[in-house]
Amino acid sequence: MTDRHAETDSRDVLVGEAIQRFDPPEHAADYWTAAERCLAEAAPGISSDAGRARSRSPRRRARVLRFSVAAAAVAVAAAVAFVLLAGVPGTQPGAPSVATAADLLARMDAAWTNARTIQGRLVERQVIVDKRGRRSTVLWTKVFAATAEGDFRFEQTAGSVGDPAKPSPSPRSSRPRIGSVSIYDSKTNTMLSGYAGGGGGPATWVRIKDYWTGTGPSPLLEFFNMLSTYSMSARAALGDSDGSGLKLSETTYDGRPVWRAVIYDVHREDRTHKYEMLVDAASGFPMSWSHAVGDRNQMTTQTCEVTEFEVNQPISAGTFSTTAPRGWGKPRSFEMSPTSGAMPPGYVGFCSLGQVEERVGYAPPVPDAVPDGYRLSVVATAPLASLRLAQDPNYSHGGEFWWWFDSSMYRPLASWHEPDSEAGLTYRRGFDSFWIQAAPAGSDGLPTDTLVKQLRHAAFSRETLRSKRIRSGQFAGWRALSWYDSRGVGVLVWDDELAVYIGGSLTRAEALAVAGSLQPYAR
Amino acid sequence: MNALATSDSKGSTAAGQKPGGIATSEVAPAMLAAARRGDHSAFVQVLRFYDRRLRHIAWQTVRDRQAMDDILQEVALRAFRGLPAFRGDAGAGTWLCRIAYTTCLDHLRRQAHQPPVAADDPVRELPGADCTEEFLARATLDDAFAALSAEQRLAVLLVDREGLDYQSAAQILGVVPGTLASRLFNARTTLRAALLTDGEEAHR
Repeated sequence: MTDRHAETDSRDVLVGEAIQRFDPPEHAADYWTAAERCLAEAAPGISSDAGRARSRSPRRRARVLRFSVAAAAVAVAAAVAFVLLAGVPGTQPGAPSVATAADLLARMDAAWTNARTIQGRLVERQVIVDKRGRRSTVLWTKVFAATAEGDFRFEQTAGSVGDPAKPSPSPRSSRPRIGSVSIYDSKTNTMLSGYAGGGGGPATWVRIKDYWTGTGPSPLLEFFNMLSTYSMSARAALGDSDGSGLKLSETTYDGRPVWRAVIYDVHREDRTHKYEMLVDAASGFPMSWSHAVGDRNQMTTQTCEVTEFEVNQPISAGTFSTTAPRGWGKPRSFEMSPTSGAMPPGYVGFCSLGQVEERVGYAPPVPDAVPDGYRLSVVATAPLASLRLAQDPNYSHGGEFWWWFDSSMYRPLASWHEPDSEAGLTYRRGFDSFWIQAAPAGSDGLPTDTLVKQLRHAAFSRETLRSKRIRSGQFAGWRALSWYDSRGVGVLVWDDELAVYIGGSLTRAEALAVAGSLQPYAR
Repeated sequence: MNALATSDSKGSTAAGQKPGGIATSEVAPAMLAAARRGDHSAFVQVLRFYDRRLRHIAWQTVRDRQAMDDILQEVALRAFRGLPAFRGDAGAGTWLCRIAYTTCLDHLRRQAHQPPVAADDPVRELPGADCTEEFLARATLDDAFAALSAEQRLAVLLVDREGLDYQSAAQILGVVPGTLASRLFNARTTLRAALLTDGEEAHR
């Protein structure tokens, strides 16, 4: 193609029409009013009586204010940085200060990598307000305890704002009113999981012996760990930030010094995006965060608050006992033995990397490079039907035990209709993990069209959705979609044969780097 | 080099935009003269006339609406104070856009970092673009546009979108026309390739 336009002053009409999409946003609603007022105050003219009668002092004051704002912003930022670096009264001894998004991200990464136990209480709230002001709110309260070895106990109640705040069950509660409980005891390798019946009906729950035979904790550790999930989201947002909009300050929360980080605070006529969080200065764990996105039609806000939080403290004996809550009736119990092959229907199969291809019919994509400290922890295969039922990569409800439809998770109670065709790898680093899930693409494979539509329309993924061509690895030349939402970062890349989803404790850049390093596993 | 002022009899800014959004030449001389006499309202009308070009420059630099508005308010102040010294060697629009561009550069120096333009820009929605292939085709152009340097983006926006001549666009960006032509060539090559690729992907 020759560009005749290089020699003349002609417009490239084709390009000009195509790039109309990139027109800038309109000004804020009060922009022109403010502009006139600014002119009148700082540069009086003849357009109004106020302009004529302006005295020198107010004009000079306004001018100083106007032009000192930018300089002051730099000075304030420097002062904040100086204070943070020097430490402030009340900061826990030994807690390093942070001054940038990268500092805070590194602090949070270290928190999850180095923690051995965590426990606390978490309140999660989602509020959706439509353009008529109608409001719907869902409130969850959770109590959690977990160890880096894989023990966990997560109890959840659900209700709606408007109900008086009901005390959430303590880790030893035997009568949760609504919600679910999941417990895993690494000493006995037993898992208990279930949910209470609605309207006083019977609970549905199971106890599974010999539950986990993989290396290290099972991925369910972070799947049920909502603190981990929201931490993934917070870190993804922080990793996404270029720092230009980041505002860092120190404050206190729940009696402890925290860093307050406003990561995004964007308000436009067509969209609002605000993300802020509080990070415990001593431990580096997020204590509170709020993510709001929306437009003139709907505003969705998710908030989460953690209280009674303890890290690396002893956990009460019996916390991980797989005793059913009182009143839950008889469980369904069975034994699982994946290595013996005697698996109940629908059970996800664990295997080695070398065994994947014979199970699913393709060589699993394996990353050549992963972030420092991560090691391969789990290799699993699952029927493709599981993905069809979990079409929303944001893990929306799709069935009775919906969380088990994810291939890197487990669904012991689902039926097994098809041969294995999905491969899941989980990499772990302390409490942190990320997963790579592969499945056949094409008309009989992963419903990528449906997934893409959901990403484009879901409130949080829509705001953060990006597209990028992969330049290396087996997907070189193909497009990867990336986003982050309340579940953390996600990457979806596919070619004519295979689709891969990457998620977990990664920043967008890290997840895309993993996508670009994927190669078919060679035995 | 100054383009003749073209406007309707009222000198309104509405005449500044042709259908399809391509700007005509310059604001009415009477409006500009009133602004030079210190008439705020007239000056605001001048700003409104060139507003989209100014927003292009600020937006491509800071990619944040609040910052864009802040910068353009500063531009307004600088320009209003500088009006008495404006000799008309260049068109008023070129002069204003040059102020906007240098103000943006000052802003960047104060912020002490590169423009916050992500290497991969948001994938934008299009009405009716429900089909995944069409969506991805649009995303190809998004990718290509985001991959351009800020200078290349401004070059195509000022010339191909806003209809400025090479001389005016080069003056705004503080380069010689040959440099502008080079940026345009590279940017158009990238964008045209993306437009061709869109067609190929849509038909796969």
